[in-house]
Amino acid sequence: MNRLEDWVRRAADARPEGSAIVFGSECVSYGALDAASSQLARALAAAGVGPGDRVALLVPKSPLAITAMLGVLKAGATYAPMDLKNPVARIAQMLQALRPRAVLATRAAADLLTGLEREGGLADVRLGWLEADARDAPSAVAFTRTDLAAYPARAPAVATATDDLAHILFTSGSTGVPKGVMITHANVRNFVEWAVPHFGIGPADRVSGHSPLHFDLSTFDVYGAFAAGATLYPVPPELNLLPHKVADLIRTAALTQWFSVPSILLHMAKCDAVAQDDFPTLRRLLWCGEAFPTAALIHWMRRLPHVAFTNLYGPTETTIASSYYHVTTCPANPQQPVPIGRPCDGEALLVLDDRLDPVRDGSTGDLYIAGPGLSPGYWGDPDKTRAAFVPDPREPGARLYRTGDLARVDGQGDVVLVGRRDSQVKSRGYRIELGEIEAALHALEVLRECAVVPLATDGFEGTVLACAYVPQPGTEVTPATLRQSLGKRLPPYMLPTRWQRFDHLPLNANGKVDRRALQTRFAPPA
Amino acid sequence: MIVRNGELEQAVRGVFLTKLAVTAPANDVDLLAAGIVDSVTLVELVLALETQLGISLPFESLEIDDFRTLQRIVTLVERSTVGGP
Repeated sequence: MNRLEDWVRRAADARPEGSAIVFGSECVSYGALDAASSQLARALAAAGVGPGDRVALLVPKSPLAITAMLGVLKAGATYAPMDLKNPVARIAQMLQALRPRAVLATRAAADLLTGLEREGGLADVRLGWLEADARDAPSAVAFTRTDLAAYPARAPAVATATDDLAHILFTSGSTGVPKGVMITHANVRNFVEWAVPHFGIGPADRVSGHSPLHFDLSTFDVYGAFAAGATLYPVPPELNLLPHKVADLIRTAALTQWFSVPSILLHMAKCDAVAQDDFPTLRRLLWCGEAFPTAALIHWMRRLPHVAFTNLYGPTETTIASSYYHVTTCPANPQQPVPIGRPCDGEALLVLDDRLDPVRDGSTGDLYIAGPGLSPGYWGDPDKTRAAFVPDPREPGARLYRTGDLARVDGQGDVVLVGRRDSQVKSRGYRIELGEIEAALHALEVLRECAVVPLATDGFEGTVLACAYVPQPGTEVTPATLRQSLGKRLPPYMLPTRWQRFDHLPLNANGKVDRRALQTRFAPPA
Repeated sequence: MIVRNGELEQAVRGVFLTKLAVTAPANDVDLLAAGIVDSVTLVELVLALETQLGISLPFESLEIDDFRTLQRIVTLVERSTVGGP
């Protein structure tokens, strides 16, 4: 298997009637998924999309969105899934960087597309409208879903290479512009080919698809399931609102594997949505994206003694996960963090000092990752790429990724995270650069000063964002107006939930905003 | 606390403004699609509705559609006020 779409073709050849995706009442077999994605690839090729091209996906999480991902790959191109909750301005920024040949969209993206069209963000972009007809399409359409049936259900022949980009995933950038992380077919294949046998995933498995498709973790849900010939159950995003609904889905779908960020697991624990010995079919529960508080893990492990629990760790830049830690016995101390463990096969985790030399055993240092999971870098941004991906002094030509995490190695040889080097925070698994929020606030031109600080909560959301602001003299601003204006530039998950007006911000001895002092000025979350 | 029928909408709008720093949109706007109500704000919203309006909203009794629009939230509060103790 060289490319990600090959797994679907292999499963379709072996078991065409086998279920690839189940989403509510919709069930898509491997045969149907393979055929539909091939037809879409041909429509894309006919619209001028080929190797080296990018295709932006503005399709809500669904079997259709996954068909679109595969269709783009079969056309030899690279997809970039976009979060439809982004405001027009942020999508426009991403499209400007991406310069896609085509956009695939459904009616759910109609308002966004109308906004983009108005801003000239869709010039020279072909629109594949994945609805039955073009009636509601916001602009001229290259093809509709109905047109696809006319194409043969065999993928077009395209020239491909293993270092081809499979997808580009956008994450928060500290200077105010989202960064596009480039991920190759080989990057994903490397992790999936280790993980599927390691976890023993097979055709009888029913695996969750909890993460949004623009989120790195979803890559494992989708391609891990397809590589194993298993069935993927994408979780409708709205279920996250009510933990009992998520628990219902695990029960009724009889899932065997759950993989998500910890926040939903915390939410479920808090709401007591999981009964003793619940989910009898569940065999493994994996989490990634941020730390799972040990007290909540203990709750889960006591409730589900039949399930294997594994912590995975790795930033988007090193593809899905680079290390794993099997929690084999229920932790005794709720205060002790769960290690991120040891490297997955082929990867290396290094705790280094400022000169890229290993720190003494047990000391804290910067965590670097080396290995075949390393992304080629950030799309169209060689400077940021050079800053984050540095030459490996141990091996000429090899690279290290600087994670920004601080870590140490414990007495058992497992890596433990200690904190962050920079102002990046995690909220519900989303990476958030506080600098990006502050840059967007300053761009509103109504504030003299502002600072965004993270507040730790014991709630499931982990970290909430608080904004301290000083209005410019003569301007009338309220938290509601600020939030509304900011919402035109940033996605909802990046909007601060607590706001406080100051006459001036506290400064530290160096004359910089004293963020620690600010944190204490915010009342503890209700 | 008992709130008379016509005042409920204003009370719910007040909770949005003071607790979530959100100017609630028109009654029929899809709050979930707009990202105004998500998993974090929902928890805050439920807590605030409970404390400010003196009602009880047990999580396991809630449906996602109860939070779809401002109108639906008003209906939910109304139901909880009438049916409550």
